[in-house]
Amino acid sequence: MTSVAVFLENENDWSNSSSGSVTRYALQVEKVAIVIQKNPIQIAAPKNSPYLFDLGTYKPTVTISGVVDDQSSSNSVSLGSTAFKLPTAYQLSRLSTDWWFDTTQVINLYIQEPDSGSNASYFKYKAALSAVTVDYKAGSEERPEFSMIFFTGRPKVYYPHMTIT
Amino acid sequence: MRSLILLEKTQASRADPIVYTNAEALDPKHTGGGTTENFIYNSPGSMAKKALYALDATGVAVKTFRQPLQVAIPKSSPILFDVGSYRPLISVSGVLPREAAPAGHTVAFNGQEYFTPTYFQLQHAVTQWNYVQGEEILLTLLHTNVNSVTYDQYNVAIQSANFGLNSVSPNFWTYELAFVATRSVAGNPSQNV
Repeated sequence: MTSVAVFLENENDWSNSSSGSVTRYALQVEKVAIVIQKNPIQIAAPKNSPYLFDLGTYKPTVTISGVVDDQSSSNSVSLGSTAFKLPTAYQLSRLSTDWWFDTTQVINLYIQEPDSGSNASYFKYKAALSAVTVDYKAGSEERPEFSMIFFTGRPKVYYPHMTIT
Repeated sequence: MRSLILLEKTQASRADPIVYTNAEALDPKHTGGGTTENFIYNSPGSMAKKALYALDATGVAVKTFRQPLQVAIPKSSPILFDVGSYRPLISVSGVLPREAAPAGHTVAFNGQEYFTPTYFQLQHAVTQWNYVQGEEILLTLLHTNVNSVTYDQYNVAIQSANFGLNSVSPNFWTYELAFVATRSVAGNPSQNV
């Protein structure tokens, strides 16, 4: 099955064998779900149209699910000119405990779009891990399923696709 | 697929010519004097056009919640009490192309051209459009006899947006938008009288 190009990066990974260096993973993702929750207030008025009040706040949550290799390989995937390694289930499990989001350990989640001309187009979310699940099933022990939930900010978008004509 | 839903935001500027902000433009960009958008990089936008979106909708639902009181009386019929308040909610679902729609893939309505937004354009609207008096978000529900311009229009605030991407359908994002709305204004309503 083809996968959606999703990448994960820790800019200063203190659990890396070279402590504090960058760690980059290419995830084998089958589904991406992005929920943006806003919080407008709709005030009902007797015999009248409701009043709407909106502060403009929003809270994006990104959920990804797919499969992960149980055994290591030397495979990697490129986003632009940057290589991202395929993680193992062990590495996903470790990052679920050893990565946390702060100013010294920024975690970025990339969702790649089709190239825009010759340029790589992608969304880059600053993301804090909310939950990581690795799910082994009989018959597919070599490629267990995983899911990850992130609380994110608004993405930075590189070379976005736009309908303008 | 029919474009049943049109979405737009009343622009903040009342100048002539109107100056669209990054939130209001069809093609937001990352630089340009006072319109710097730090969240968009390497976008060749000109910000000359207003964001007028025709959504490819596979599902539309309009629900109106009322809140009458039904007071139960022992051994008697309940008493009903209704102040006449109501809260319309609209949900829209469909698909969004990952890349720009072909040129001319637009919907004409009331003298304006509405464009099929990409995922980038719609998620940008979701985070950057908020309901402010005088700068409302307008949702137009087109009825099936589009040629005679029968429609309902609601002022709406975006309550939530769900976007999905699946490896078995790699060319499209799916979306589900939920809005809280005011009472609609109908144009040329179809009705049996």
